[in-house]
Amino acid sequence: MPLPRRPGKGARRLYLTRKVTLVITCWGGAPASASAQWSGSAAVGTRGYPDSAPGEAPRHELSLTVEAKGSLTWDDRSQILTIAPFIRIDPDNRLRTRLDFLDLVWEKIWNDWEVAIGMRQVSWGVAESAALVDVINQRDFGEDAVAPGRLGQPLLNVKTFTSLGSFEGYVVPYFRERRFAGRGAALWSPLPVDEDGAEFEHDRGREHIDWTLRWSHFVGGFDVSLAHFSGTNRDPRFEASPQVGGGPGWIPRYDQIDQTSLDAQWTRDALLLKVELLRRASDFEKFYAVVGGFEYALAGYLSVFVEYLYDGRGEDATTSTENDVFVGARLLTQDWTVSSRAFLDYRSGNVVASATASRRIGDRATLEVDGRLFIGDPSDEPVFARRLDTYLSLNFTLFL
Amino acid sequence: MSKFTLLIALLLIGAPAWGQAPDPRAESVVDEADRRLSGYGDFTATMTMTLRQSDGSERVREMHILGLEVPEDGDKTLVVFDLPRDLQGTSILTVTHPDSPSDQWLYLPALRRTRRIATSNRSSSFMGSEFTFEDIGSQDLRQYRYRYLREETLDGTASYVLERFPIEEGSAYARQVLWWDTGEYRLLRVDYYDREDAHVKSLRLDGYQQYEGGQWRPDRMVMNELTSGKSTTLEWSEYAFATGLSDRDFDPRRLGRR
Repeated sequence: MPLPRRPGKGARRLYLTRKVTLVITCWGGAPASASAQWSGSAAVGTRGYPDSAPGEAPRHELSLTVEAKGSLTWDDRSQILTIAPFIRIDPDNRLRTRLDFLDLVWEKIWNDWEVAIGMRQVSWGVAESAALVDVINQRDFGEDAVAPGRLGQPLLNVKTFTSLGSFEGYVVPYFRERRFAGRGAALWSPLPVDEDGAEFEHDRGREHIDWTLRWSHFVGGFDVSLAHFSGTNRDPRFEASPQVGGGPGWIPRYDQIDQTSLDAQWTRDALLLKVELLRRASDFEKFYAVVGGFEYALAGYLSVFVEYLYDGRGEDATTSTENDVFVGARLLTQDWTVSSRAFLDYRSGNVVASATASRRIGDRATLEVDGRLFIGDPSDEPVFARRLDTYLSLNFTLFL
Repeated sequence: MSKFTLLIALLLIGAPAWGQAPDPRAESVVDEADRRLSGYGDFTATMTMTLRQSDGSERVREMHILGLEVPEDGDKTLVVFDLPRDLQGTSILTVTHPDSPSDQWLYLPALRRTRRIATSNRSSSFMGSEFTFEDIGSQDLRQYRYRYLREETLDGTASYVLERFPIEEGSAYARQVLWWDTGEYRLLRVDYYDREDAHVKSLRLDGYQQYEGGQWRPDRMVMNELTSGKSTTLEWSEYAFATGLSDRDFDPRRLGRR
């Protein structure tokens, strides 16, 4: 008599497959037409800062990052389930370590309508130097202050596509706080931030339900979008506190805001003109911010960028690019991607220059060298803006 | 009629400008070849692009391609990269227009972001290959004047040989010479002559197979750069026609799902 065997790997896989089929049947699709695909990458990076930052910030950071994205499509490709986990491990800094879902979303698609429920990334804007109008996802400054990643955001989204453009509505129920761990998130101010002591203007705090409406359209070479966001500011103010880790520091405070924004691009052959404009209003501040400029493709593989950035908060801005000119260039070859960029602060004369060179190795890996140089006087920078310290980093990414 | 699609345009020649000194024999060949390549509706295919350097080293790119024929307007093509893996999911949507420049959008999966991009310079390389955007037809291919040269046997196949001259400024070429087989009007070879009339590139198409709706498509396209010895080979597989694609699969606001 054969002995009963423990279910092995194959049996588990079968069980998973059954589960998926069951789910599909519940949603009314034909399992036979379901298709799945996935991709993933693992990266190891090290970044060194020649200057020591105030407080406890280390001079060296190590990151191990794993990202994956899987999607299951069925019902004649009209239903999609997307799961994109993100893991970052910093062995020296527990606060930079995070497990998140960049996407964990179900979508239903019709010819002119779409509905999405879950956590996802919503990416808005046209500018190269900043993502001014991009408002839905909280930023992840754990890696970089200038080009941050995003946290997944729970939301309900309805879109419709009409001859008068597309209309999108979002209900955004659960607020995610900004984290201040890591050199990419540290402020120019030498005082510490008490991120566990965050305060909210609204009584419901993180539970406040935000909403956003957006209209976008493209006609000929013009792309234009108008959006309004009402809810908890992703970008906190800071209030002084005498007791943060045994001394004076800052408490992040998340206000209720109304933010109206416009982003537009005009594309003609090799020239792209871009502008992003926003007005943000709360009980504590009202200001305008703008970024605009052009991109020119000198050839298919070489583009240059010039933009101007302005933030009406001036020295109270939470960004260092409150009155800056940005210049950049990007070169693509068969194996290399090389880009360089510089922010020139009109008011202080400070310069932040950076360059990245990434080389493809075989079909499944890239090696990247990335460096930044801060030239100027840190005391001229807005104290609540993130530090733009000089660094050199090396990253190796393996694509699975 | 003026329909052409990225890459498919290698075969499709579009309605030529017959205005100046029409050549009736050239007209009949070009119109018939064009007619036989139209009416495909939509297609999906997989393409492997092998870039060979003069020292013999190779780089391989893999992509899947979706195309939609839009009657009375430009065609739509979506190229989605599969290899190298750092480009996986990166998508380029090209929408051609009969009377205005093409529109192009780029979807970057890491950023979940679609952006309208500058329409590529006609003479710049497609993905580092020996094919330029002019060669693969994101530009208006109607801008040629055709001339019938002769009928000859090319590798054992009876062929029509035609010559064409770009009408507009900005082409990298002074002229091109094209071979079609006389039986099925399949494009077999294109020779490219630069502005100094030097023969600089040669394209060969072979492994033709007939698909649904009588559509003939080649399995292989090889572009040889004659001065440097570099070459690019495009190998096509998994061709499927009339797969039920619609405008929503080619909407720039809805990229990243193929």
